Amino acid sequence: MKYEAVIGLEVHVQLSTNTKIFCPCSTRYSGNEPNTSVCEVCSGQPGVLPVLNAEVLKRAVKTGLALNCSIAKRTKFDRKNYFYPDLPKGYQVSQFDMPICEKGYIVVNDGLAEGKKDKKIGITRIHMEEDAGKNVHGADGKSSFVDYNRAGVPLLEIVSEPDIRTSSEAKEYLEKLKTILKYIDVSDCNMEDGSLRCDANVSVRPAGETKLGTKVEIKNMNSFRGVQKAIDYEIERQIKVCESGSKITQETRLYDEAKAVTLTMRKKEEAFDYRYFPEPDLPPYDIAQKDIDAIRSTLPELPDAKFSRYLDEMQLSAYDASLLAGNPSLAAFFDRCAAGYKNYKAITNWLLGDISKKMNELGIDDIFDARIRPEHLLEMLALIDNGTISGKIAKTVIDEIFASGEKPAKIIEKLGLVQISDDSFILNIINEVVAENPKSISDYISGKEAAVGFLVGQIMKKTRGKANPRIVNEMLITELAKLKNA
Amino acid sequence: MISKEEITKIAGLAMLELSETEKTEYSSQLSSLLGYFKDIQSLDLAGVEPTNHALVADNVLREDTAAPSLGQKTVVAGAPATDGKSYRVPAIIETEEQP
Repeated sequence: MKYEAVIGLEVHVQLSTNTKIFCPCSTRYSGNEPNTSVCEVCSGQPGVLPVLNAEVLKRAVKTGLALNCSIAKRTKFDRKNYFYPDLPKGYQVSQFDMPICEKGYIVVNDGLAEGKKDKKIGITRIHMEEDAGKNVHGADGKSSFVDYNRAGVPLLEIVSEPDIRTSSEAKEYLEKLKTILKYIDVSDCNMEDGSLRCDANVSVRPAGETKLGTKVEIKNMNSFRGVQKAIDYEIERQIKVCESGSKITQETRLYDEAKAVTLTMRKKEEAFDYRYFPEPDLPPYDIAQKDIDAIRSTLPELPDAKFSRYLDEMQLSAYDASLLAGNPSLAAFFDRCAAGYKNYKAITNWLLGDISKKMNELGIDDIFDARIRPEHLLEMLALIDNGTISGKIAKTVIDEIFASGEKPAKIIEKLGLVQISDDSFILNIINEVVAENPKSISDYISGKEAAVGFLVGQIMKKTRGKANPRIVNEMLITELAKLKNA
Repeated sequence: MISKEEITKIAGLAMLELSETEKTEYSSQLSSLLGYFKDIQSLDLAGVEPTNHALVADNVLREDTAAPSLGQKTVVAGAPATDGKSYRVPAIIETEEQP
């Protein structure tokens, strides 16, 4: 029988605010000792009162707008009750029936370059909540140690509709979500650091069936690749269970990255009875339309709009446009270059070619962490256009910009890279090369055109790449023609 | 009437250990509490907005400015068990070992 998977994703993102959601403890505790960014409120001492961080509400609204959601006119917090050592109060302050955002969507179009069609993945809701602390398991196996530095860090939980059908679609959804969140600068979105976490609800059903199968929740995936592999494993596991005639158990499973399997999570009886009730310590919030409008006006151009602009107005290929639009820093760099230089394809080629290659070599993720600036690239492109340097020499210039951060003109002067366009100089070299390669000359005369390429290579070698290749070509052909007709 | 089974379940969720006598006692006490809600439910509340909050103060917010925390020593001073840096709790084991 053929089966179809139905997948929904729950994504938690940590908001990169200065302070926690309900208290002024700093969120910049990374690398610090445990329990150093903790106060009475986030450790859940009796008698304390939480106060909502205005920035959290603002970023929640901003995220909702960027994800095409409707924003609640009135929103409130609720307590989600369960016991776990990393939860100091015995409840998590979250949102239940009046979340800040509802009914949005993300367009997945990562395969556009390959001719795939857009697909809308619905977003059911986005709500604000507090993060829990962190458990570190003791070496003796008898104890665990709890650090509450993370307790109270603001989270957005973004819940998708079960619109996803394959693991690669899930990955595309996550990548797009991450890109959008980075564009609007609400979160660092780093899965390895845990500032973006993803749980997947997976079920299978016979192809064509409209009723949903029993869903299994998978947790503990630490990378987009991990999400993809965990979903693939789980789909296969569930199909096997179905084909053996057994029933899927509704449960939570943990992904084991090392073994690439999902394992049943120790079942906690009635663990899912969270007994939500309104949080009495936090008043409800009314969101005014003028505030929503003000936040909307701060939204930057988002990846879908950027993609279309690159494609339609700048005539980039779909592949190039999606690479640029999918990387907020690269897109910003490109936009700044494009404001001062009209050969967009040339900018793109350098950015996605040599510059990206150099960044990979140096392990730089964000182009703005490198020493190259849009002004460097613009100056270099101008020097290529006016014949001062060749494209080949420009590669050396790029290397040197990354190393020293100096301006291209200065680098060219310092390293003596100016392109040689002096005819008499080039003619001398041509004569040398012709004299040294009688075999190639006779090959050429007997009709082997390929010999020209070899000779050009020799000339470029002698001038250490500094001769203007266009002039070399023209002059060499003239000289060879003279020899042939002699 | 709230049954003893329901009391046992609620006590379990609250991590409370109750004796049989206590279960019987709370069963009748909680039942009479719920009786009050029955009275309220008999009222005609058509057109009345649900109240989910007793406070009238809306939109209380704080600026995103950091203030000093308590310090590690003070934080773990209240822990029932500690290694001086973290709260120590019985080992947490999350998965069964069979795939």
